[in-house]
Amino acid sequence: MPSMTGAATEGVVGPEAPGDAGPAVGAPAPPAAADTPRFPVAMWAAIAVVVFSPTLLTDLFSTGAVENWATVFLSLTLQALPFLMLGVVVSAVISALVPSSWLARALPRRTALAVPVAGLAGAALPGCECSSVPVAGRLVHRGVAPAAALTFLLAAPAINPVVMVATAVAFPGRPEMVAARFVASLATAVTVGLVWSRFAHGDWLEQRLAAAAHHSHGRAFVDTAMSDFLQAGGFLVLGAGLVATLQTVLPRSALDTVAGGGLASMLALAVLAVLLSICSEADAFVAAGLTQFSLTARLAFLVVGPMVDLKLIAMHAGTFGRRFALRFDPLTFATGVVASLVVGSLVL
Amino acid sequence: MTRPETERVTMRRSDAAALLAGLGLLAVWLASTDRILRYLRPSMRPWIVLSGSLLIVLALAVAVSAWRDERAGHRGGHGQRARLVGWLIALPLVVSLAVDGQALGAYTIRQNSAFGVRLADFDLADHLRTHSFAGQTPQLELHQFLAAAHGDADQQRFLAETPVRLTGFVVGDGTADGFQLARLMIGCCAGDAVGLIVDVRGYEGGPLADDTWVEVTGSFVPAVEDAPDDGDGARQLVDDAPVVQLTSLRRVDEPDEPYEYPY
Repeated sequence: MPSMTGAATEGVVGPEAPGDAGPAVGAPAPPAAADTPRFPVAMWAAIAVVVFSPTLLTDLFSTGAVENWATVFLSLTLQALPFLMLGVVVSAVISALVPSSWLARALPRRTALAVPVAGLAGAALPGCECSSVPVAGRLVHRGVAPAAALTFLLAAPAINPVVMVATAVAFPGRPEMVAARFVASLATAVTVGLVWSRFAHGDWLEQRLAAAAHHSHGRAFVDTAMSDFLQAGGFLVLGAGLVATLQTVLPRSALDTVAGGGLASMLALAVLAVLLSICSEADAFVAAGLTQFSLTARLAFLVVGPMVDLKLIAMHAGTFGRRFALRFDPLTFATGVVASLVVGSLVL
Repeated sequence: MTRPETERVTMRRSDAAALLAGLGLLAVWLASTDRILRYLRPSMRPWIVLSGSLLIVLALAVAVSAWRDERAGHRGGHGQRARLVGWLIALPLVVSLAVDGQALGAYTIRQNSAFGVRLADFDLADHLRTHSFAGQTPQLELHQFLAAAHGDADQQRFLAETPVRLTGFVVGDGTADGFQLARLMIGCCAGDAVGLIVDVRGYEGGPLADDTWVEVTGSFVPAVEDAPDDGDGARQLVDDAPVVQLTSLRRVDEPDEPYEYPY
């Protein structure tokens, strides 16, 4: 395609967009909040520019790549908003209204039992991956065994009924694809939970959620919802910006070099799932179109995507600390690929 | 394991309230116009309104509690504070003000060209029977046209005999007598868009810029060889975009729903 070269040179503009916009928002924040708590000057300046010259900025940013970046970034953020809100509300309910003793009784005391139960419980939260991060963070905060909460974190977006139905619609006449996705995802979530409970050091998981200590139930609810939303939302925005950059600058034709079957193509699609960060309710439709890849490779795309992607890595690091994300996400990625390979070669 | 609150640099409650309200207002404002359809499928709209409204309510509750703390004479350290990363949620506001958000178009088609499409089931004869076109040339969505063009021999023959109207945007392909007509198809949001493409031949007008919205009337020209099917209904449509022989073309406005949603 001769026009490819045009797109590639334009693509160079892409990475500057998030890079420029990021510091402009983030930079003024630390002094503002630490010493002189004022609404940052940069924000007022941005508002003033927009009010007095509405077309100045839009003219500046009207190349194909920048517009592509902005649309993908905003759509990822907006799309996540209802799911994030659901997660934050559930998290606030757990924090403010559910007594710790009730949570302790709800799960089996032995971790080896609690982990699979938490995995199956994930099927009950019909949200995207954005909902489950604040909920899992809050569960750990309220004393649920980390391994169980982490299994829930992985299973919820991967095996809930909405995702299963979407997969069945995207692969008509192939119910084994739905079964394979369910089994491989649950196996990955439970395996990671068990491995974590057996080998993880206590200080790998940092509690970064703020505590709702005092006041009434109502105040505790508002406080938890506020801090959880800002925290999860902030990291979500960071991840969405990265994803938009990759979607804008990476031509998908690079995929064709690794198409086919075999381990290399599986790994390629698993990495693609991490980079594209497509919502678990829509990824089956994209996977169905990747016909140059084997079904097992596409299974890896569907198993890894809802558990590890750029958005989620950012949110994991934000909720449980960087040390956690550095260990947990590679472990989950590897387990997901192996589970897909095993289940795929047995079922597909 | 929990670090004491005071060690962390935090955000003021009033700033947090402003950020939450800002994002909530952005969501509700976008959802109140058709601009939201450049980002999400239409069925998401009520959920955006709901979650945006909840954010505004939450922001008000935070603002009220901040004001009460102030009146009660509480200073910093009291009450719950938010971490600085929360400032990042101002980024969607800044971006939506700075960039005139357009629906994805030709740029994305070129980027996504390696992606195949899983087409929904479609029966052209059935569609023509059940939809009234009142003497007009029937209008098909691009995914319907592609499904028929990649259907069995009967579907293809029937499609070739039936002139149709198609609406999409132009992607220049460098040839003198034609261009690619494209739409994007989305599942949830524009982040999962994949391209639908047909090759239009027999165009003799002046050059058309990328992303020009047009309605073409024409007929399907079957390929000599049928495209291979991998057995699960999905096909690679990049190298074998079906060909439409053009009979007429007119420019149209971008539709309110710029994407197609077969599922």
